[in-house]
Amino acid sequence: MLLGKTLTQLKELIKKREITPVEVKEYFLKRINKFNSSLNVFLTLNDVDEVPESRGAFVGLPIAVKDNHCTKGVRTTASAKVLDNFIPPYDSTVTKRLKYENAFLIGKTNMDAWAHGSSTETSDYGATKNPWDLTRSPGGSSGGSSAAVSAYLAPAAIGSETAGSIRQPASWTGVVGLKPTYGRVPRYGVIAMGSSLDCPGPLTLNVEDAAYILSVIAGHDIHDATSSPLPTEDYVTEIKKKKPFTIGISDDYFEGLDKDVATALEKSIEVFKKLGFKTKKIKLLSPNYAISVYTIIQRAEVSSNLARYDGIRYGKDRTFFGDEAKRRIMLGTYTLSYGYYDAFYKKAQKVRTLIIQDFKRAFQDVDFVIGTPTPITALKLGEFSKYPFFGELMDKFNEPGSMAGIPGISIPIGLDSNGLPIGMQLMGNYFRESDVLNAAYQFEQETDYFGVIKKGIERYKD
Amino acid sequence: MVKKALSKEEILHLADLAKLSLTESEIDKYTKQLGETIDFIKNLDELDTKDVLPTNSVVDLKNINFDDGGKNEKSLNEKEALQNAPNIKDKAFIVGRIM
Repeated sequence: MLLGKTLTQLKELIKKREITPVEVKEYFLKRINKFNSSLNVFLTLNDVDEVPESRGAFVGLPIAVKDNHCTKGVRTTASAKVLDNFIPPYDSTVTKRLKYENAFLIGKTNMDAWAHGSSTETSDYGATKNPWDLTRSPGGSSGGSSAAVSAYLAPAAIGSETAGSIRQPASWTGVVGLKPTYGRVPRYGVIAMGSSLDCPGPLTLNVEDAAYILSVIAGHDIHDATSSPLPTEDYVTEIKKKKPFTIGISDDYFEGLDKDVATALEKSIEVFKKLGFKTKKIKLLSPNYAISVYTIIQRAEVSSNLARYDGIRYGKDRTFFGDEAKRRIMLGTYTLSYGYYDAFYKKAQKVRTLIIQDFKRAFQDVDFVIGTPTPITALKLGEFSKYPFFGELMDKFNEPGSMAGIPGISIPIGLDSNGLPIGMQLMGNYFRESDVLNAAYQFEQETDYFGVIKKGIERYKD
Repeated sequence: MVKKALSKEEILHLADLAKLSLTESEIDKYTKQLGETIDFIKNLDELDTKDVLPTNSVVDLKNINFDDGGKNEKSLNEKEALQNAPNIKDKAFIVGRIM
């Protein structure tokens, strides 16, 4: 019985020779064959690479990868028709590091096209369905990766965040999602959205697996000048030391929450108190400013990054861009154009400085800022278009941390009255991934996420 | 900040700068949507940033250089560099005429 086994548990089974990596791959392929047509999680399966030997950190285990990570020889589209036929001649640093540790990259997961969106609905290959309710969105943009883990089509997945794209789908599909500090995990070979924001990170069934993957993918990369030279930590060891922490509570991060979300969050704060954590009221800048800063800076970076798609060296020409990409390119071109640069881009970068100072001040008093990745649980497919900016407001609580570049983790804390997962997030200080993971691990040991992750997997029996 | 809505001419100019060809309905749609977005982001004017420096790096990195004589592992060989190109001739990319 492999159903629901974590990456760490599968690793033990392989090490004890109770199962081989090829058998594990076959097991997941069987599940993918059974469920992928209804969930639309995988765009491409890896039929190029061999299953590695049972050595290295990943002992031949399968990991799903968001389709914006270049994988040598395996089609990489970022869910955009412009890249429909693109076969990367090189690996992203993240996938290279996973392969070096003998992971088998089982397949490439669906996402919002170019990662533009919070629902996977902007994918040129159709939306991914939320495994908890097929009429709902799994969130996004890493919706394929979160759904893969939630329905156990892979024991773990790689996603990426620009502002909420790991934490929000993790929350909506009831799994663990870690957004590292900007620069902690290299961006080289990840199809760029917002270059000053993008962060690859893991989506997993528990905190230990997230720590385990982070230990491999984090660290300086000479190919990414924005990656940090600061040393990494042994995250798996760090999470198991029981540490006392102080949690910061800012009222702005509790505004406009759905009732069930608010109740679950209050309950979670009580769990932390029971674990011996202190809480402290803090006052942060309103997240509403971060939405504007994010809108300006991300669109500007999008317009610059998507300028390279000319259909000459690879991919198709610019007539293949979808609606959302065009809208973002247009706004970015506007805010960067002559006469408007100071009013928009420069102003936004200044306010970004205020957001950074604001968090730095807060982290002098507290270890974390607590909140939720999304004010509501999973929306129905198609509902996003009712909201301004196609759900940008959904990511309101993720955007401040992303603009500042700090780490955050989303973990499940219960189900709402519709039986949909609710997520909580902890945002931590720069490069304090070990603290963020540690606190989430303590919560997990205490609550087992109230059974949410198990319930999700049980819906998808072998 | 700028207070006016975008005109159709401005939208066409932006599309030209970004090398995008838009349909009539897209022009109308983006005129409206871009205007709404620009209205929203005006809330930044509420904050005084007179003496604030713009952010360059969120993690304070500066002056990143390659070591002298470092091996360039990023370069692609000829086959790899051309493998995804739709139009090649004599090991070169074919591009549109610009003059």
